[in-house]
Amino acid sequence: MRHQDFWARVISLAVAVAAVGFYQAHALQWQQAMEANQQEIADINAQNSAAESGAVSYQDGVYIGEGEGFGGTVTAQVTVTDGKIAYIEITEASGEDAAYLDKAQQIIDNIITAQTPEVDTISGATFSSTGIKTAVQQALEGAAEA
Amino acid sequence: MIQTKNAQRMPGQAAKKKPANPMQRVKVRRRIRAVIQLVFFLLAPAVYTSCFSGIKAIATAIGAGEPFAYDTFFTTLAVICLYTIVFGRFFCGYACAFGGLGDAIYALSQLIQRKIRKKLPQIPEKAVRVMQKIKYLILIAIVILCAAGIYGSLPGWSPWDVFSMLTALKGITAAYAIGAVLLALIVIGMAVKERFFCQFLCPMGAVFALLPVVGSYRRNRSNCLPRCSACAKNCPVCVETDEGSLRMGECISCGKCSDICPKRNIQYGNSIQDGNAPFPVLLKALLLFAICLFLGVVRTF
Repeated sequence: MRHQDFWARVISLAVAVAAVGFYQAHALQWQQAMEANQQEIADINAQNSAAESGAVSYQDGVYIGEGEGFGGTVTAQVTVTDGKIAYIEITEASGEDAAYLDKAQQIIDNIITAQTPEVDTISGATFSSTGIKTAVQQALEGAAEA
Repeated sequence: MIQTKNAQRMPGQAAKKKPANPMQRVKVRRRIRAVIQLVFFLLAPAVYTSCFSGIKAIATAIGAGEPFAYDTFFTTLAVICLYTIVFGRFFCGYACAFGGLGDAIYALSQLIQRKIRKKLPQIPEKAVRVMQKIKYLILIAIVILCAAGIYGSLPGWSPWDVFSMLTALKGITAAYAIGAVLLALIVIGMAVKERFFCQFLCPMGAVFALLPVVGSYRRNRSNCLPRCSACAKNCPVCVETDEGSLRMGECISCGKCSDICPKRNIQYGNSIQDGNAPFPVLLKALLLFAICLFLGVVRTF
C-alpha cells in the first residue's frame, strides 16, 4: 500500500470513527436527559398523588358527618388509621332508595383509593353518592381540626 | 487429497529452477492454510456474522436516534477491524468461515474440472474488477435499510443467516427460503470463481477493503524474474502486490502470491522477507484465535 493511499485511508477511518463517536456521545446525552426527564415526571406524579392524599393530614379516630342525599340525610362514619382514610360506613340512609344507595356506595372505594372525598360522584346515583361524599367531607373536617 | 493433487500438477515449471523444494513449499503452506481454515470453520464460524451485526446495530441505533450498545457485536467488530489494520485481511484469508467454505468449494470444483477434463468459463479480469464494486453497494443498501428501521421486518433473505443456521447445525425454516436460494446461487458462484462471495458480495469485506492496512504483502519488482507473473496469476482477487492502488484493499492476505513466488520475493510488512513463511502465519492465526476466545465467539461443544 503506497503511503499516499495509506494516509488517505487513515484519515477517512479517523473521520468515520470520530463521527460515530461524536454521535454516540450526543446520543448518550439525549438518553440521559430523557431518562432524567422521565424520572422527573414520575417524581412529580408521585408528589402530586402524595399531596392529594396528604394535603389534609388526618388525625386518627372515628368521625361522623352528615350530607343531604336523595330523600333525606345520609350519615357516614369515617375511620382514620395512621393518618389515612381506612374505612367508611353508612350508618343512616333511611331516605335513600336501596338500589341507588347500593350503587352510590362505589364512591366509598373511590374515596379510600384517592384518600380524599374530592372524587367524582357516581353517575346514575348522583344524589345518593353526593350525600355520601358530603357526609365524608363533613366528617373529615372534624378529623383535620382535631 | 486436494492439496496433493494441486501440488502434483505444478512441479514441472518450478522444479527446474529449484529442484523439488519450491513445490514442496507450496504444498506445505497450502496444508497449513487448509488446517487453519478448518479449525476456524469448526470452532469460530460466527465471527463474520458477529462483526457485521455490529455494523447493522450501529446503523440501526443511529437511524433510531439512540446510542448503540457496547455488546459482543460491537467489540467483535472493533477488535477484528483493529486486527485487520495491523495484520491485513488475514481474518478473510484464513479465518472466515464463509471464505473457508468458498475455498473448499472452489478446490472441489477445480478437482472435478480436472477429472472430467472440462473447464468452467472464466470471468475476465475486467469484469472481476467491476464486480468487486458490487459489495460496496450491498453494504450501503444494508446500512440504509438498517438506519431506516425496515431491515428487521424484511423477510429472511440473508444468505449468511442461512449459512449461520447451517453452521449452528439448525434446520432452515421456511421463512428463510429466499436466503437459502441465494446461498445456493453463491455456492455455484464459489465453484466458478475463487473467493466469489468475498470479493464480489461480502459487505464486511467492503468495510475491510476500506481500512488502512499496516501489514500488507509487497513485491520488490526489481528483483523479479523477467516476465514472471506467477503471483498475479495465482491471486484469487486479481491484485498485483506492487500496484499500490486503492485496489490493494481487495487483498485478503491469503499469501498465495508469496507461496508461488519462485524467488521468494514477496515480503510481508517491513521485516518478513518470505511473506507467507509458516511461522508468522501460525503466529497470526494463534493470536487471532486467542482474540476469538477473548471475544467469546469460539464455539464450545
